[in-house]
Amino acid sequence: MKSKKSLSIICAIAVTLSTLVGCSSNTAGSSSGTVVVTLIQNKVEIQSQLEAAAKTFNESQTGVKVQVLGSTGDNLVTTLQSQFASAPAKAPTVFTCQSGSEFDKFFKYMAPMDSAKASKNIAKGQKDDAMKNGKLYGLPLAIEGIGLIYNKAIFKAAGVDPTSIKTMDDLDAACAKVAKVKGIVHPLAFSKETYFQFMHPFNWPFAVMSNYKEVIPKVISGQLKLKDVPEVKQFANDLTKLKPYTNLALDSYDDQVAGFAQGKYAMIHQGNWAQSIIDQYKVKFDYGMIPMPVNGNTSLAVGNTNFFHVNSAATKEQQAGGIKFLDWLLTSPAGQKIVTNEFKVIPAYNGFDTSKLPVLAQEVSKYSKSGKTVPWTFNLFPAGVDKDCTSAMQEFYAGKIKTDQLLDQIQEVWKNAAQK
Amino acid sequence: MNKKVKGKITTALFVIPSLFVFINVVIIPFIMGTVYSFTNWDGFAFKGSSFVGFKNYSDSFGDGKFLSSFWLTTKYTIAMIILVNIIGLSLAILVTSKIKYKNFFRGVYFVPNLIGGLVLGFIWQFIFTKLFQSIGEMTHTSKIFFNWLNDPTMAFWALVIVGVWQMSGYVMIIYIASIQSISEEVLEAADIDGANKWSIFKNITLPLIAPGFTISLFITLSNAFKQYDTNLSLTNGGPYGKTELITMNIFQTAFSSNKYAQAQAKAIMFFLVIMVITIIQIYITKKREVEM
Amino acid sequence: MNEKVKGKGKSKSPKIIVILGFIVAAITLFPMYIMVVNSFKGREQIFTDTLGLPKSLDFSYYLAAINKMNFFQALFNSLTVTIISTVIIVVLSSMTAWALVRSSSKIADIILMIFIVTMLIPFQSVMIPLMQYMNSWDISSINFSMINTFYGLIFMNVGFGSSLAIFLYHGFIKGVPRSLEEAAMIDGCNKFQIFWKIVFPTLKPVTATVAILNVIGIWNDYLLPSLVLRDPNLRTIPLATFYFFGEFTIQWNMAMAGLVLTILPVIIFYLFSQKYIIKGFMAGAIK
Repeated sequence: MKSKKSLSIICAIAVTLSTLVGCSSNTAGSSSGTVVVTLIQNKVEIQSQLEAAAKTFNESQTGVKVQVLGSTGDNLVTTLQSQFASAPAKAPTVFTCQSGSEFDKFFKYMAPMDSAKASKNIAKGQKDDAMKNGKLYGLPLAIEGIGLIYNKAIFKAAGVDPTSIKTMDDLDAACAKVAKVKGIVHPLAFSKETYFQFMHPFNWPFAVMSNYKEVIPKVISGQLKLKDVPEVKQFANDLTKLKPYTNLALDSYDDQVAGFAQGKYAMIHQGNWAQSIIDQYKVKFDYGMIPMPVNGNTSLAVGNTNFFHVNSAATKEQQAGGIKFLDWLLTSPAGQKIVTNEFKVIPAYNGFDTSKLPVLAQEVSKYSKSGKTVPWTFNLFPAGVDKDCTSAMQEFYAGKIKTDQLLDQIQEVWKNAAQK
Repeated sequence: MNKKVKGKITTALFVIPSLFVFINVVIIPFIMGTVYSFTNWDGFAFKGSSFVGFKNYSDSFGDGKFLSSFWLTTKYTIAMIILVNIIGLSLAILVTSKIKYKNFFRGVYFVPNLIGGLVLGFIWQFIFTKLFQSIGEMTHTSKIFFNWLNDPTMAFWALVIVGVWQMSGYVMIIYIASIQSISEEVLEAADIDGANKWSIFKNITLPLIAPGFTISLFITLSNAFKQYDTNLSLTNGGPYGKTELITMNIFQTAFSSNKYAQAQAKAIMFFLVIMVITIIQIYITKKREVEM
Repeated sequence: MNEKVKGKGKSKSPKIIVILGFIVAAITLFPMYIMVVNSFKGREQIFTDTLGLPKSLDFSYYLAAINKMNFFQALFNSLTVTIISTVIIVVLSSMTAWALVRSSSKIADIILMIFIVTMLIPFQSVMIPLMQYMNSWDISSINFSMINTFYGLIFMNVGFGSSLAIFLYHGFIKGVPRSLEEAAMIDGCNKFQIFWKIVFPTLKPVTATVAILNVIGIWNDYLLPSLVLRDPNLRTIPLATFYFFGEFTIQWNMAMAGLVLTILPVIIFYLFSQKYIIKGFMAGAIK
């Protein structure tokens, strides 16, 4: 019968096709001694450049073949989770994950990396988050800096000298002047994503403390009330005063940067990664980065959350191959050039030529080289608090809760999150 | 061979392939997940986990957000069921009637369903935020046209609107198939008898498409309860975490808070509740079905 | 039976309904318009002038998207997985539903219930156990693996798609009179012949529905393929579009171009299968 015949033809084709494709997909396992190393990461901005780098590396030698896999931002953790849960040996050889709770989560699959050449050149303070029990378990790629990206032309028109902003009150005064400039909708803009709305701003009060490593655990356990920590209380009060000059964190990251590029916002609280987006607007004004003057602070918050780790369940040859690639990328002249010129990131290492880096990266580099940096402390915040704390921030900005309530809510979220 | 036994074997042959795949892809992992929910599984290899009884279940109740997102999902589902079925049925009637361009309409109304939920959420996010804002500013109707996603109530309705937009075409197709299966003789007979269009619809069409209604109700119910993709891309649970539906809450519990076993417990409870609700629903609607 | 007699009413229906129909159509297509229109714009124009038509038909974003996504490879992959999965689902589910509905045993009812009830299980809760379990099916000596292969993904798609398909089939089969089947049985046909020659053709409307629903669901599926397929050259289209969706930012113009490319095959399929559906509906109406 007609339909039965065509059905059987379809089935025949189906089976043939699937076996064909099923065969061609197998690349794991070596052919004649070449070790295949897989690498996965989720910074979409450097994905294609990384693939090109791998190609160059593969062509430059014959022992190791690097295959770059891909993933979207939030899907990476899910993917890694499921692969490590089912067959760790087949999970990617080199993978990235965030410091803090993700690091702890995947720690049992990380191999020590002290043998890497690159580990000797890591810039000051940048390897702490990947150290455990005295050994190094990850290699950073880039450092990033957070601060206030500001429009130099608007500052000039408002008569504000960026170097004069040394306290939060100075910032308020500057905002008042800037607000009068034509075209300004808000002097200062935050963006609404969880990390940008809560984690990064709330980093400042802790980052300027010398003993944040003791304070944060005490807050989490409830020993210390968040609203009794003077730096934090002060910051929350400062934010309340600053609020009227801001966009109340109502914009998405895209819109926040768009607003900056169009001259609607004079300052945005962001990191140097915004560079690639600003570039797409081909802005005509000069811009730079200044610190958030919390407690008289004059440093940018510099840190790094993305480390490359090596899968300890992979074969010894694969692990060595992964380290070989990373060393090539981070210590060889060819690799280093790719990092600065193609990835356009600020290397977390000494010995790089950073002169070709774009504007914001240069600013961060400047502060970093002169030691004017404060750390990223939010890696010590408990896992998964970003979402609920951001909800509290939203209520705060909407005027529904005041500083004490805000701090109490944040602490409540931290306490709940830390309970097993 | 005994004809009856032969019959049973043939039946088995018809059923076993699906059953085999289904058991291995759905049933077994589900059982595994259920077992995990009674342990302190850390999300990785199961070896080394120990039983903790009902701890994960009781902990879930301690999580206030679990209960509130459950309640929110219920409200969302009710709104969806009502709107999607009314609109879907109306569209189906429109498209099976004698009006001009009906084929074009039928084609167009189904298009939203072609797009994945994730993508949909992004596009509609843009509409509810920037587009609404500019319309409001331009026409001075900012009381109606503002950034809906910044207000908990409007954000909820935004979710409903997108869900309805996406699912109406789907449900429309089910109703079309249902309407088309009504024999013309019955309709003709009623028409000859002098019944007007509305009474034909009420007394003949509606009861005869009852199977379609059962199916569509069940599908809308299950899809609405399980909603995740659009929730993620449209509101991401905001503002203030007030539009976090239940699947998102479960996902967060697992992957963000690292409480994998507890997430499994939540999922099991979620599943049980829906199962009870839908069994009740099917039981009630089946009673009213007219089988030919 | 004359089609014109069906659904009898005034052949000239009120203009208002037609107008209403067009308004609904416009609302329906509006997001699509936004997608297409913005796939030709530079990033700036997208933010400043979102509603408007593009300044020029700049196809460069499409070219860039095709390039970055390795589009044609991804297209082939998506087609393979989608078509094969759907065909298998249709064949197996229709057979199973029919056998279960016609059988009068308690077991059949229970099995049917199980299929239907499990539609409610959210995928996220079985995701990791599923991966663990499928991984254990590896036989490396003959290079057999459920992970990172198309047949593995297809197997899982069939598993997940069966519930809804069986549910839909069972609902309609109940409305198909047994008389024809009984007549055929008396004539000496075996069950396979009865099913394929007599029953299946009457199921055309449902088959069309099941086919479309699965084609769309599987085509657009991101999560499951992202966990099963690892090789870059196995990527299906949703996986390939990830390039434009970064963690905090979306390259909108490229993303839009990529999304339009993603939807185009489904729309084409839909336009073609529509004609088939009409035939199917008509055939089904002629009992």
